[in-house]
Amino acid sequence: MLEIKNLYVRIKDKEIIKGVDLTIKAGELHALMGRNGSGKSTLAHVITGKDGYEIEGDILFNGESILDKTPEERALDGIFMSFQYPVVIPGVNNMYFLKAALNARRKNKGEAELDAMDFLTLIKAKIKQVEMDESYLSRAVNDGFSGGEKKRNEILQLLTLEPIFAILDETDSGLDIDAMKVIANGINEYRNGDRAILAITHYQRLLDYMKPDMVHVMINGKIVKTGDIELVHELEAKGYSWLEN
Amino acid sequence: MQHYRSELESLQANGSAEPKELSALRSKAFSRFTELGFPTKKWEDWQFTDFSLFHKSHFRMTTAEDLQPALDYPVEPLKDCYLIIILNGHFQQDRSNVPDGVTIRTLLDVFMDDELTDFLNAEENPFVALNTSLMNSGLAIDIADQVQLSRPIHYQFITTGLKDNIMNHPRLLIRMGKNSSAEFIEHYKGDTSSLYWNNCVTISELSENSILNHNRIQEDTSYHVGNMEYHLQKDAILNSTIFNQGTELYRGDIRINFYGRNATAKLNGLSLMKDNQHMDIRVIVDHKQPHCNSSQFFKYILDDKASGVFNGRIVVRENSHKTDSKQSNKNLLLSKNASMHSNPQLEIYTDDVRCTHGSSTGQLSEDALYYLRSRGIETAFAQRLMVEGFAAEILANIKDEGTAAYLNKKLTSWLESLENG
Repeated sequence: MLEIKNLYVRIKDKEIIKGVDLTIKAGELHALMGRNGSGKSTLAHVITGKDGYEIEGDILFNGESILDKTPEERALDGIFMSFQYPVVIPGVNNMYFLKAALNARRKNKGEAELDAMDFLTLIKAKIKQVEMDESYLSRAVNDGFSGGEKKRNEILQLLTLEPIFAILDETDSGLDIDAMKVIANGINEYRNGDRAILAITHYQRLLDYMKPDMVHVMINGKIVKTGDIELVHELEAKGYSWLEN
Repeated sequence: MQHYRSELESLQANGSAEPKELSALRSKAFSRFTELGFPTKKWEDWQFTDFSLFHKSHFRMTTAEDLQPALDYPVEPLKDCYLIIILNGHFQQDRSNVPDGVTIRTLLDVFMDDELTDFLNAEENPFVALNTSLMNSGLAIDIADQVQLSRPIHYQFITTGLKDNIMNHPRLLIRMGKNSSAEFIEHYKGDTSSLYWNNCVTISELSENSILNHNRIQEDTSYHVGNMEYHLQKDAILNSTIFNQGTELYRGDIRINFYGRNATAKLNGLSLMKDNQHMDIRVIVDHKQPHCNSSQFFKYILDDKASGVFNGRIVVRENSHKTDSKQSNKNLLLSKNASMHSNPQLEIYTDDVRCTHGSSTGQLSEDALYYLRSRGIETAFAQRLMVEGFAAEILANIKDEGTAAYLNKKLTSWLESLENG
């Protein structure tokens, strides 16, 4: 589904990603771990198409290069990221935003757009899955939401938009145990054989709930080690320094 | 100045029905106006606006003949409103309707009743002095004690179908009786292609325990100067929204005076600007009494080469303890050539008060735009959502459904005009 080939990324002459190869197949969940500043979030933003990067190498999505595509084109292709820091958008109603995003995707797939009533029925069912109060639908996007509520709102978008490939950028950070369970359940709800996930995380706990197929460790812009869930436990015990150099 | 003097003289010569006292008052106000002159760059609170065009352009007062071309104007009331119509400066009594408990009088009647003189003291603002001197249209609207209006009053001041450059100096008094409540929509609309200038003074008096929801919708296309004064007595509540759009030159002076305890004033503003439009708003909220609350929230959205000015001042006088006052000005620049001067000020002469102020001017957030695009929303639509969201924080406060719907429609068509222009 996703193939990253010999990827180098610079921001203003500073090299952040220094030759990454990564292939994620449909049905798989890959975990990407590593210290702060190792390049994990940059990799995520390069996949979703944020401006401001100088890129070498290629990223293929379902066999097609996406590097020349805009963020909205990639989203319509089925790429989604749960943001590490979800952005507050003052005055823009959360439900209106969710409906606009879903209808953009439906239109792109050649499906009929949902009207307000049908959308309301759908979103009320989805919001229950992330155990959020319905009042969050009538507020401005992420405005005044707590850290945990923002993350739930990201997973609500994941469940509503039903992308093919989802990047979870530290979706578990700053969550208490109950919230983490809700988020993990939401993510497991989303998973199926046609979809894939790249989960960026610092912690073992979320991965215990989600059972990744592969675990990668990124240090200084490179993937230095790949393994299975055992690698997570090893990192938990030993830290990252043994993988350096 | 000579030009304005001759307009005054012909007004006095033609106004044979006017009492001598009124004519004398006009002359006195004109002397005050000539002493002051039009504002210059040296006047601190006026320095960012060029008023020289009021010297250069010649405007004549409207006459009875100017009514004719406006008679066919399709006046559309907002949803479920009582209507007061003024066409090219002429009050249309037969087309206006107000309910029991509300009295409308022309200002001439008011002057004969000797009630107006209170407001005509020595004036610092030359436009108010000129308005007093040339006052040619305008009304006093009294809402009697205990009257609670269930529907809004929609006052429409329409300038249309003119060939000459004309000016009007309307004066509007809104007097809320004790325990009364009303929603008043003060609406200026102009579509004539010649130059025109409306120099308005609106004074709203809120008696004890009265509630006024005041929406001032200003969409004159040429020049508009507006003075709005609010006088609040004990326990009075004011909710006011000042909307401006499409005006080549706009200057608005808003003053809120607290004359009694425990009164509340909420003042919001939204200005939509493009091309070379210039809008300049000064607000003074004067806390003369303790235990009063006020908030100001003004937003400007500027495109092209538009320029805006916001001067807001909160004054808390001695002994006005337990004052709670907020002021915020936020501005969105949609073009690199647009500019904004913002100057929030606090003047506090007592302890035990809570006052905050803040101001920010910037472009659409790149992060927010990326976030929306990453959800599959295309750039132009995402930008539009964000601009609408920026404006929604003001428009969402409007209580009257008809007004809110009208202004949301105005916002949408304004945004479409940007995309097409």
